[in-house]
Amino acid sequence: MLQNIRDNSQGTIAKIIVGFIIITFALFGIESIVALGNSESAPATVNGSDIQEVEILRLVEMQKNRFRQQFGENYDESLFNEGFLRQSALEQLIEQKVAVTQARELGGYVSTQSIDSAILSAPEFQQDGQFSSDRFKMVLRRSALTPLAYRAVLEEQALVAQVQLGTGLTDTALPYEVKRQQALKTEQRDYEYVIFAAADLKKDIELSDDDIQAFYDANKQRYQTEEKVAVNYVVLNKSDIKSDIQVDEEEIEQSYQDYLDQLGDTEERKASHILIEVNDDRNDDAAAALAQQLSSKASSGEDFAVLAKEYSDDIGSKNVGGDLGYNTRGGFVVEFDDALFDMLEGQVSEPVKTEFGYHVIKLDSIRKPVALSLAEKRDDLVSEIKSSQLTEMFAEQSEALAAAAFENDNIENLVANTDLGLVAQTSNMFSRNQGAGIALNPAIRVAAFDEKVLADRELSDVIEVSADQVVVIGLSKHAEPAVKPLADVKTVIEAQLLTEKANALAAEKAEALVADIAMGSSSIAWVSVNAATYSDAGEAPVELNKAVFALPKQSGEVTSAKVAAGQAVARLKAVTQEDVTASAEEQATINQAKANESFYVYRQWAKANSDIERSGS
Amino acid sequence: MSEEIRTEEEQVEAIKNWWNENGKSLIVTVVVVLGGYFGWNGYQEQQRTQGEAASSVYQQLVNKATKPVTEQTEDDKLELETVAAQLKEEFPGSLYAKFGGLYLAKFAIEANDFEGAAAELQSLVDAGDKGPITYLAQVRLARVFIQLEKLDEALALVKTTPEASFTTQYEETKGDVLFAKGELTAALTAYQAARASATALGINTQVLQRKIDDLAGAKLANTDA
Repeated sequence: MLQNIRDNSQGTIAKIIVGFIIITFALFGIESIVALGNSESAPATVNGSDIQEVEILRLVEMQKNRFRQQFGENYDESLFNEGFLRQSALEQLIEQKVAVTQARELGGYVSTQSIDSAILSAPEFQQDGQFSSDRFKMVLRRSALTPLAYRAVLEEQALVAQVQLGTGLTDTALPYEVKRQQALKTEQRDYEYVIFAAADLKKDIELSDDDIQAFYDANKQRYQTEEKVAVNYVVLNKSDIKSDIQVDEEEIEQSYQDYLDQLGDTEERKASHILIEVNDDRNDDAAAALAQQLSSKASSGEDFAVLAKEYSDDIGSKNVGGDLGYNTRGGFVVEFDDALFDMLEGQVSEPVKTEFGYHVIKLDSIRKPVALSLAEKRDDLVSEIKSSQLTEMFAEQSEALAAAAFENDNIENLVANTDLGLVAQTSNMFSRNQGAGIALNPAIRVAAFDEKVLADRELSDVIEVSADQVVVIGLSKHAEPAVKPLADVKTVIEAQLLTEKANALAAEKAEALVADIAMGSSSIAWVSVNAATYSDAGEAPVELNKAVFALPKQSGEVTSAKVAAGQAVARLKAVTQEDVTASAEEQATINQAKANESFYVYRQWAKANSDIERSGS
Repeated sequence: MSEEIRTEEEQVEAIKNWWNENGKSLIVTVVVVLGGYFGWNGYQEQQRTQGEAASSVYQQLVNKATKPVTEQTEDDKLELETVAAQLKEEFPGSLYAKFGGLYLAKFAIEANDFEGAAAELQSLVDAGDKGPITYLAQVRLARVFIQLEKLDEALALVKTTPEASFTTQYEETKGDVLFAKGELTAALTAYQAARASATALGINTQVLQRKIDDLAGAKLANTDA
């Protein structure tokens, strides 16, 4: 059989295949073949471009941060539906991908220089009216973006904006359009109207018990009580733990030593650097040589800031003498970090190679917090040790509680079988959405209505109410949702029925009036409206005014409309149309509306012509 | 299977023969494939360079154009027109040249030069590309024609909507033409189609509603006549 394979592998087809693989490798690298097998499905694909899970997560996180800022202390993560946040993040990303891919498809580009200048002039990176690389880094870190990813974001924004301005801002209203809209807006109508108020008609209506019964029977689902439960529970408090903790001298020594070490870590070093990138114009050797040259120059006393300005490829720092500000260890890529924290004050480094290129680093100064003596620090250390031991004990007890909750099937037994000093308590009845006391906490309500507690009648898991407090609950009482008896809801139904019938009666009266007018006989007390416009009818109801403006422009035309108070009838008297020139402001509004509409239509087109695939979720 | 047993000489001979037979075509194939690959790359690279250059010029235009009209000086306006014209001249056929054309049409409208606006839009429509920019230009051209009272030309441009997403704009403009021609019943039908599409797309319908209301008596009037 081996011989067979050997024979076959020398066949022409085998040679062609091997040749193909060789050429593919040579031209495109190994990724081209590896990538074929690596087709983990993205949450969504738009026009062949994937939306990654991490993009969704980042957007959800940003949204949560926004809520956190908005609600401050009242923020409660469990109030937000994760699935909903995720879905809206995904939709937002799809819109964005549609805009970006279509802009590219149309032939949109963004140049590197324009992104550079966008970064340099963005107000959020400015300090004292100048670009600050410290701010730039800080803002990026806060949104968890690398400079490269941030550039990609900017590129997409610029691309989308260019198309938006090209499709939308190029539109404007023509004079005839402004004139017509203005004429329709300023058209005035005089009319008279009457309202049949439902409230006035209620006294004429009698409701029978049969009516009420029938309505109750037909709408039973409206009159359900909420499902409610009461729970038995125990609370484990960190503050209840008896703390007769003794701290021995050795522990204090040890933690003082830790304190000193930690202080060393918070040492900050102010560095400047010159970055020499390896790029199309300069290979690795040339970059290394240039960096070496600059390092020697700077070491022998040439002005570092001048060299940085002339040679550095770091656009963020080159104009400020290569200054990177104060940073603690871990602030830079590891090679840079190691070199920086191994230098003496004022020293200039040999070239350091990182993923960005070659750096020549100068350590400008060191800032170190002053250490307190053991005697000064002693009290703090003792209370720290005590508190960390207390936390440990609390964690152990919580674990013991969790084990006991698993082994026991009700709160009484749980209390009897443990020696944690627990006290059984019982809550009042509460619903899924509302409760008092212990049930004020949404986590408790969720656990109480969970299958485990409600259906299986087991004890809950340990519920963390706060960092210092945990709770275990078990079901005490359960009230199924039920239909309220008729007696309880009779007044509500009566009010509802009365309103419905009164409205129907008002409509009947209005209809009768319309018929009378058509016959030429009506004796009713009209209210007059003079010079109403479409958007301003004075006292007359808005709905009625709209109906009046939809009437043919003939005196005597009649219409009827449902209004908040009941039903209204109006009779048109006169229509006036005058040429009123649009003000500059009105003109601008009309232009803007045209521009918006054009862009909106383009966006609809872009979406309709996109290939959007959502995978599951 | 007799071929299996060969002397080294025979093998060398066989390879030589094979090379004589196929060598030329093999070399030609490799050259063509490599040439095609690098050529395509080069073409793409060139497209990108051109595109980025056009994009930079266009960026200057939009930076200025987004300033509120009231703050724009005469110099600004002149520069806007120069840059838009530059896009058309230096990057013909590109997206940015088309945007340049749309901007020039808008500037012409703002200067009440409707013939000029029509010429700009007409050249975009005549280019015959299928796509959103052409469709936008086409309906704008129809509106400019209405302004110029060339109603038949206007109607021809909006008679059929090229893609459903554009229904609102095309039907409203069609309604405007028919209204101008005095064909009120047909205008009403067009406005109603525009409103239905605007509602479906979530576009504000108040202006359309007013135009429809305004024609409430149209049916009566027409049948009376």
